[in-house]
Amino acid sequence: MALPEKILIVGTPNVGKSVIFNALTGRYATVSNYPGTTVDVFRGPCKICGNAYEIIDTPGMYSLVPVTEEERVSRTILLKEKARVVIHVIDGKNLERMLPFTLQLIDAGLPVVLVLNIMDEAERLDIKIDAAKLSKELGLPVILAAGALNRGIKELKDAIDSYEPSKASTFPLDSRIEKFVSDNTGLLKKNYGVAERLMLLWLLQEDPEVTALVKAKEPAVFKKLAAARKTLSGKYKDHMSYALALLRQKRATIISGKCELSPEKPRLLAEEALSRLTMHPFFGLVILVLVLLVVYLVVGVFGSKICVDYIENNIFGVYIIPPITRFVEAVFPWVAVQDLLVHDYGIFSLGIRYSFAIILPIVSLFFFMFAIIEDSGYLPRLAMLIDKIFKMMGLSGRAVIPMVLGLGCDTMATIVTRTLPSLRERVIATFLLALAIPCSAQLGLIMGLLSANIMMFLVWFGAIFLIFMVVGWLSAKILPGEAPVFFIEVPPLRFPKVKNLVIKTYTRLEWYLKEVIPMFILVSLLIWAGRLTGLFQLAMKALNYPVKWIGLPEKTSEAFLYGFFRRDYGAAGLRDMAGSLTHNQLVVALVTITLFLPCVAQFIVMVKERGIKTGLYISALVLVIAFASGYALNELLNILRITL
Amino acid sequence: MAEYKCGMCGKEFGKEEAVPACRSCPFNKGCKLIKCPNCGYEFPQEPGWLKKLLGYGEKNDKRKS
Repeated sequence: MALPEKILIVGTPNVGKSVIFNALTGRYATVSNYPGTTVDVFRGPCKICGNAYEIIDTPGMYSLVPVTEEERVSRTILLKEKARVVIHVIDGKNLERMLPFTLQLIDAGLPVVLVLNIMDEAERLDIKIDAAKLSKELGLPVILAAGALNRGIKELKDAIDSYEPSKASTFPLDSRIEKFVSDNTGLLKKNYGVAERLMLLWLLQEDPEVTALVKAKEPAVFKKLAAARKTLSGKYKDHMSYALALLRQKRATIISGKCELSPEKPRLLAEEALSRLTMHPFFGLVILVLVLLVVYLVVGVFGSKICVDYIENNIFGVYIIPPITRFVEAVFPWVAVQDLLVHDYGIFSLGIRYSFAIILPIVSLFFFMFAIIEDSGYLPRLAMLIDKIFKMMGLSGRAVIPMVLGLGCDTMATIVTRTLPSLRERVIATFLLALAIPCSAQLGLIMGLLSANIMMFLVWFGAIFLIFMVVGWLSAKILPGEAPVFFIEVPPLRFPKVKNLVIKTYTRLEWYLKEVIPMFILVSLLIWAGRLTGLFQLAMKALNYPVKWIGLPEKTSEAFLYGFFRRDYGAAGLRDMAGSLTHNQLVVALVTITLFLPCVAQFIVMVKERGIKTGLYISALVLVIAFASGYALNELLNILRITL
Repeated sequence: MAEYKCGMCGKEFGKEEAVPACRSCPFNKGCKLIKCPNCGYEFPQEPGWLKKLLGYGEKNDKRKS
């Protein structure tokens, strides 16, 4: 029996490809990883006018020159699966911005049907598109659709059924590039699955996969083409990828101008002006500092200093821990059992007190502030703002996602690093997460401990920022590679809704407490067992040496040991002994504990994600950098005679 | 109808789109985090009772209007 013909759905993320896929397949889909990758690909059967087809929904892609693993998979599918029709789904509201990708598909010689989706929203914005005219301009079928409302699906099916392969006209870019294409057409003798024109343009853009492929298959031809490419690219001041993107965009603007009737562009609103400011290289940083300052005042000063002090001293210190201690001492005569439940390291006096009296108020306020930042649409702007800074560290704005998630939980964030396009970025991001990104509860506690004076906070922040930058920059030098490219859709800025803030804060808090309370109880148990067997004291003895080198009393090694079980537990331990430390010692201890080894859970995930060798290398480096930084800071403060 | 909205890129998506994004994660069983299929940003699911309560509130609002 003959296999059904294939129909591919392609397009950028957020254009409703899945809705079109569901409408064609009736939501019947099988999901599998594309061979050799962790990228999911959806496949489903479909019958159109009695003919059976297999519909393949490809991962979102912005261009035929891939940046991420998802885009690479999509391109491979486009080239390898010989499709009867390629449905290019675009957002009808953004015709001008999305047409360049259609032009690339035409250059590839693929059998394209263009679907302008989300037309219901476009119509609400008074955007009208002349589909017939656009079809004539591009030389391919154009369907206006609103997949979510099932509009345009019948027309799409008809277009697939009646599709006749015809050569859509390619669009000239500029005379020099067209000359390069015409001069070299006919040189490539092997079949690469796409039109020769696009192969030549990819070689011009120095696409690494295409370059390697042609070099291996036709070395002599490649040599000739490489020389022609070098001569041509020397005539452009930008990289050829950028030059080609600009030329295609220019062509797309002309085509959309002929076929689209949209209302006059709205004037620059205050909201838009603010949005641009948040991404401005200078004012964006000023806004970022202001945002951090507000978080510090709310979480550190109000949360940790005022709320925690009150709850710990006036509620737990008076009404909860003392009666429980008296009850346990009265019921259980055995000191070992008493130590397990109460006294200095018991489940109630340590685990439950840390969870509810210290961590709960801090993370509640932190999650509330985070919900405001998230709901306002600031996060993608932050990603755009620090894209340039991250590039110095071999990362891109895309790495903002794991870094921001690391402020919630570094373990989960380490898993999310797999969304980064290259191994180099994944290793650098994993390293920086383990080293310099404190989790929410640890950060809140640190802010609280530093709230005695703003100078302490500034020294801590400056030290962590400097180490983050220097280590990141060095990592990028040691692990060389291409500068990553970053795209993100920036949604509009909006005023956060109280309902959303409450839901987000509550939901995160519930998730956090479900995870943290069993862990805190477990850590109390481990400490109890460690003290009984003497292992705890042994580990503390080993830690005493580096702790003394950085100018701290021996007792602080206990907090560092807690920190390896959970980062926030370590900071809470430091909070308990903060009264016996000078401000200088406190800042040195906090810088060291922020940089100190990741917690057990993060270590396990790090080994699982990056392998045992890289996991151990990162842990060893983190340990050395943490104590070396603590030592350097302590010496610097002493030499400069600075008293905080 | 979209059940979730990503806090990072603003993509609205349903649960069926989010689950495959998490398939390769070793913690996916019993995990309450939802992953945006577009940018990979993760956030916790709101609890069922809260969803029902808000759904009830929204229904009441619609009736009133």
